[in-house]
Amino acid sequence: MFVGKRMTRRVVTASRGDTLKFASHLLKENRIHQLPVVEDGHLIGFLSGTDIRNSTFEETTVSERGEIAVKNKTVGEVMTREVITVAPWDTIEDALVIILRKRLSALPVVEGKTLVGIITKADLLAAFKDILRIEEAGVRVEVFLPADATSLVQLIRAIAELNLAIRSLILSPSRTGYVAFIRISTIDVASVKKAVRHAGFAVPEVADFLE
Amino acid sequence: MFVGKRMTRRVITVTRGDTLEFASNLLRENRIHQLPVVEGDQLVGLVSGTDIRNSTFEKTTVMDSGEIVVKNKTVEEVMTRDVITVSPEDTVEDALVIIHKRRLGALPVVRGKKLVGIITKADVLAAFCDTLRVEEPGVRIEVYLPPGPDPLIRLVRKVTDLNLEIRSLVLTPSRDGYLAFVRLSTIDVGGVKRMLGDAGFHVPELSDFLE
Repeated sequence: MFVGKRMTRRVVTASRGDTLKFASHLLKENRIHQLPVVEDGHLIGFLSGTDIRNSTFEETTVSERGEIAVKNKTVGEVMTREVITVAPWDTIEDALVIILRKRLSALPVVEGKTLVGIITKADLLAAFKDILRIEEAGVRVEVFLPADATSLVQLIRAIAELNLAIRSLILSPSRTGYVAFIRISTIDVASVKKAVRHAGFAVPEVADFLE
Repeated sequence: MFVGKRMTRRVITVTRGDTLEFASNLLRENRIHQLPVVEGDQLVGLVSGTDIRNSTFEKTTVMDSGEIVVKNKTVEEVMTRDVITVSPEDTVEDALVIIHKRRLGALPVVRGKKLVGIITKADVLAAFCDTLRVEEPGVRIEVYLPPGPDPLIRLVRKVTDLNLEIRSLVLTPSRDGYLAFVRLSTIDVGGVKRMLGDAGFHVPELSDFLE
């Protein structure tokens, strides 16, 4: 799961001298929220829709008619210069942690100083959707497991004995051991839950999760 | 993983009559991108930073001074009225699919028409980040597994034999088998890869993933 595999390669970019009005149109037409700013293929800044919006309402004068006069600034005036970037060989987990910690929406992907792509929150969500086969038909069951690997082996066996194939699986630590999120290519969720419970595992219901 | 567990409960909202300038300041101060529009506790619309930005640069007049005159519209004039929502009992995966397909930034969470929360792209990503223990120390290795339950069982056993604890595991279909992403409680990534390789597992290198 590397950034190079999941990034958007055809990046829409802006130049220093473009006006904010032009940049805003670029965002709207392409339904995107960020524009890397480039000069000769090199990344020199980053401009987001939020930067544009904030700048619009900065130091404005509201006239009596309820109109606002704003300066049509250039990209160079409002762009972020110290841009946090990743490389194609960084993992999408690395990108995920940076985006969440720094509360960013996207990271330009560079090789040296050359812009080679962009990875957005939407790209990361799409990666998880694909990895976990979330859009495929099938059932998803959650199973609580004690904190030993034998129980995981037993669970895999129990599903195999039903002649069902696991499509995807997440095993995550929980308070008492693990919780497994399993996607199985069947539509008969009741039989799966019954068999897994019969094998001695706890299969929680929605009510267990909500206060 | 239910929406009710991962949504933001303290939602910042606006009312129909608020100006875009006011809404923009709310977004900025709270570093958010969406504002549900409410009447009492009922959801009546959604206004995003993008809606505000697009509206600002719509039908503008550029003056001789280089300034742009924009109307300080109200939230009601630009908000989305047919808002796509989820309920607390929906799964985070459901929210992910809707956000991805509709290219949205966030989904208000409602019970009936009552606004009870909001789930954003960042909330969904944070859910995966927590589930997979992405931020914990430890190594993450990728292992190709042939189809069927036995190779997976063998992998779990081998890791246990090495006295390593599985912190998280993601299993995804790959070619005709699976790709397993395993997070282990060790820092010796080289040693683990070598021992798994010696045991007959296919542990791919970085170059296998990048063209």
